[in-house]
Amino acid sequence: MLARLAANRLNQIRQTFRQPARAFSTALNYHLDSPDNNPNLPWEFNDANKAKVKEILSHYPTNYKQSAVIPLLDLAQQQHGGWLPVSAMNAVAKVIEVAPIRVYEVATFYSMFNRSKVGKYHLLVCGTTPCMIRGSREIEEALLKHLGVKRNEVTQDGFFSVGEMECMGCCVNAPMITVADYSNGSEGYTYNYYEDVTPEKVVEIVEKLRKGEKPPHGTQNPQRIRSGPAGGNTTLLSDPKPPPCRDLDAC
Amino acid sequence: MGLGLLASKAIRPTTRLINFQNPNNLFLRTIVSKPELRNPEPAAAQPEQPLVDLSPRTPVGGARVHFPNPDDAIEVFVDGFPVKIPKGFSVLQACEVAGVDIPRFCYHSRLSIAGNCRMCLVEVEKSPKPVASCAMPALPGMKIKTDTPVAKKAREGVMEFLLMNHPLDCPICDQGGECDLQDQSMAFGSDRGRFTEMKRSVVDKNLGPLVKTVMTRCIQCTRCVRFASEVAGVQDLGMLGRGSGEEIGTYVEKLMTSELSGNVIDICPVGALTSKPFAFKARNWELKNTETIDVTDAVGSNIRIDSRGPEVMRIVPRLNEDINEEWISDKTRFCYDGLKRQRLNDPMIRGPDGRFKPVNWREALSVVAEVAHQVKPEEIVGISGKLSDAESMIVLKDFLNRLGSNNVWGEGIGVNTNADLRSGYIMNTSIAGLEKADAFLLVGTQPRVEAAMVNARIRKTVTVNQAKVGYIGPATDFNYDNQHLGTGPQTLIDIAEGRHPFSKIISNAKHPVIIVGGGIFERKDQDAIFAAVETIAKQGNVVRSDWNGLNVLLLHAAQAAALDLGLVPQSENSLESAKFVYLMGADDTNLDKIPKDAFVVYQGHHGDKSVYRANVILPAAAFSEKEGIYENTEGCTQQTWPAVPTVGDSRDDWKIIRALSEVAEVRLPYDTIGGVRARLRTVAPNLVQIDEREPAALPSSLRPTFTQKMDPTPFGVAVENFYMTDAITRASKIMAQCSAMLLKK
Amino acid sequence: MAWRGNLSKNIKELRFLLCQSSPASSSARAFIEKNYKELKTLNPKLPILIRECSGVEPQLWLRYDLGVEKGIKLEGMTEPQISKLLESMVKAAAAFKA
Repeated sequence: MLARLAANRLNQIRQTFRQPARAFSTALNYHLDSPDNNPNLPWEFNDANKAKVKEILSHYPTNYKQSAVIPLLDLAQQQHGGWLPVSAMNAVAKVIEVAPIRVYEVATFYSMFNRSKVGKYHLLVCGTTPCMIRGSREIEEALLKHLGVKRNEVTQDGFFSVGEMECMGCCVNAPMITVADYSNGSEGYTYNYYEDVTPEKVVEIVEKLRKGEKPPHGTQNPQRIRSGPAGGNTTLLSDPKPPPCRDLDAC
Repeated sequence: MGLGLLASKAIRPTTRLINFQNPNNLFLRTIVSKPELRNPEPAAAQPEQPLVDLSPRTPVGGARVHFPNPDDAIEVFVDGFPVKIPKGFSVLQACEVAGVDIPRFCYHSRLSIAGNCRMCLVEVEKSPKPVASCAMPALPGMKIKTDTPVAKKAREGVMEFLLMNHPLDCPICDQGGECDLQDQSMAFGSDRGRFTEMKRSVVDKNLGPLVKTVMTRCIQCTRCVRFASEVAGVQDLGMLGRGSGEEIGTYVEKLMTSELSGNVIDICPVGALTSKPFAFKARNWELKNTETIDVTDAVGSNIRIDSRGPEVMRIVPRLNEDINEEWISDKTRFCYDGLKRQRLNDPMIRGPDGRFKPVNWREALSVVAEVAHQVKPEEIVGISGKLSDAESMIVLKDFLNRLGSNNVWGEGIGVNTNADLRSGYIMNTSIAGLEKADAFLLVGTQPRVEAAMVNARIRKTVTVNQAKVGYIGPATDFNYDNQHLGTGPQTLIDIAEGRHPFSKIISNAKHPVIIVGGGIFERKDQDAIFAAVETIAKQGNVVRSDWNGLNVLLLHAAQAAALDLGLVPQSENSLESAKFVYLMGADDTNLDKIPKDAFVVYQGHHGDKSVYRANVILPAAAFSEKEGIYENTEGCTQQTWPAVPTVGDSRDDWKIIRALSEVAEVRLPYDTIGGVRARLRTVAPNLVQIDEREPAALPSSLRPTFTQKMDPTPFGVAVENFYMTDAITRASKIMAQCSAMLLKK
Repeated sequence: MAWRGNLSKNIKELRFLLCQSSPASSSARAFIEKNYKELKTLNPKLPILIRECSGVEPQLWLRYDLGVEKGIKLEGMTEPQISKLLESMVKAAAAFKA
């Protein structure tokens, strides 16, 4: 009991000193120049993406090009292997004809824009309540222990990084992870959910990804079909009954 | 916050018992609340308010209310008091007209509305929740209540939230004593907070040698972001991140190079952005405020010099809607430390060994008078400087005229300058009038470095009216869209003859404006250039009875008054053949032109360039130490007031010359400043109408053109280094830092 | 009008002080609008300063050598009268010099 009290107290102290903002985002709100991330490095969209840029811009009125900032930043992120260097943000700013600071504002606002390096496969573990009570903390621990990294850190071989994500809508299939696949640039970019995972299953998935295989995404529980219950549906087995009366005013 | 937290720290729950009972409350607090504070009912449920005082009220801050369309006025009720406001006013502005000051942090009358601080919440009848008065348009018949429990609780709540992450920096924060947060929490906040967690802290950003940032104090009102992008025109600052981790910054390491960057110091309601040179120097209550005029450029921005004893501690802007609104340029704001360095404080005479020897006034003046009588009258030359006031210039002119010399001129004024018609050298449109314009033609002038406040006004007009700007001159940076039409007089001829596409823009504009730079006065072909400009003006209907769009942007504070007083060089080579040269603060004349055997007297306040050539030095007073009349580029006469005592043995400029005239036996007929001003009235009566702008009715087209030939040399840059343009700024360490770090290389 | 070319011989500076809009200065304004260009063309080096200020009485000031100045009120004069006055001042200055 004393140990539990001590552990609780330690947790409380740690809690007050933890800065939650930093743990969620992948970088700070200001940029520090480094050899592979500084404004002097040239960056531009590759040819295939240039066509995509034109297509994206066509969705918005010509005098409101700046509305395209989020899809363009996403495209730039995919092209650059999962993260946005400052030169990519400057290039996007030039395309949409705004001052770079406006693009920086958007990029720092959204946590899905990684402004520091991530692995080829960026694993995101959902940590919100439904997943948490189904064991997402153990999933995360298993991943971190297996890969030997801390949160938001990239493994030595550059293949994997683990981050925490908000609820991705799979509460029925909790716990789940997402694998953002940046290994093939923007053409091969996929963002797939691996649901109903267990700590062992998730390690398996990681090893399969490392070998270059593509494990099937979706629910990892063989007994479930998508969000259906294990063992098959227990309701909705037949067509729904028609309403008692079509003319609601008469009934 | 105070005692409750201290008390709870004293009863730190290290005892197992308290921890066991309530493991999740590390710090127990006692909270005091009263029933009526916990349950604010809307004012309708309360009994009717007592009678409202219906006597007329003055708007907050003495503001003027302008009704653009008197038929469109609507009536709203502020705390029961009916008030008439123009149609587009917000609730906050309506309350201001009614004399009720609503607390706010993010709203600023000259910036766009953000509505993110929520401090301006007031109760509006029939509204389910309090409304942000800065953003809510006032509708006819609205009943606005600002002193009900709902509004008060809202303010206390917002204040509590703002103070939650705000560090306890008041003792070390420069904004203490003039901090909006302090003042509003005293007036509208509750007496204690309930925040017991850890406060967040933010990394400080480096914005340059002028603005000190302590970003932990920032309350994210975004005033600086909006100022930088709207008024200064540089999009440097932004709000990065989100939630409580929001930071104001430039993201990449970028200095604020805009010439208006110092104004964010005034705008920031807390001590996040403060003046770096003024950091930790003084508290605002120990400073004496003197309302005076800035002389570092021709705009004549209204400033307030805050001084402590004999030292100028800082310069802050004063409101003047017509000239500088509420802003001043960085040069105006930070030149004050030049007033403390390189000062001349004793009269000095250069001995035969070439070194200066301090003497007393009697000796110095007698030496000067003696030499003045030994030379022929046409060999006497007087040049007044960039920072000279009108009184000293007229006294210099009178003195030299009495000695028989006609060679008195102001620096920067060339031989062919025609100072006859006032409309030929002032800003006829007036700075405030520029706001009506819808087309600008800038000829040989870079307003951003020559007159930053005029540039801010042009930018405002371009943004609001979508005005088109055409620029002729060397390539420079502008902070608004412009067309670079050309670099030299050839483009002017093209526009005058209608061949250039821009001539159509001028003809189609309802209020076209042409601004000619003051650097033109140095050119030999200035007549021809003005003639070309007049042709453009005639074709574009720029000068008419209700609108005069032909302007000249002068370069320094003394130029307008010098031209008014007729200080124009009479002959080409008067300086080269001079034997006695009287330089009154003239530091930018070409000293090489002065012959080696000429006797040079330098009267000024700084040991700048000309001192090195001088034979006698007479120390004078700087603008912060004398009462002087200055006329700005639009022709508005203003007066400086002395804020600090003079340095050492120096005297006012005009007094020195008056004393000199006595010693030289050509006594001038006035002894007091009133007498000098009476003399001014006989020369240029507009110079004694202080704070008034006298428009020039007679058009400059009356001038005859003497030189027809236009010199094809392209227009040059009149101001090379924005930060160091005259004696005071060249002596200033802050300006030196700025020019080293902030100028674009 | 030969005297117009002789202005700058003895007069160092000519100053007109007048009001922009008052009726008292209307003749002074008319005089300048009609004659300034010619006077200046004939005497390019002579400063003919025209200083407008609201509420000021119309005046003509002449500055001679050694800072001596003479000021004349132009109130109530018509435009040809002002012209004649200027002529007489020029002649007087020439006579004095001689």
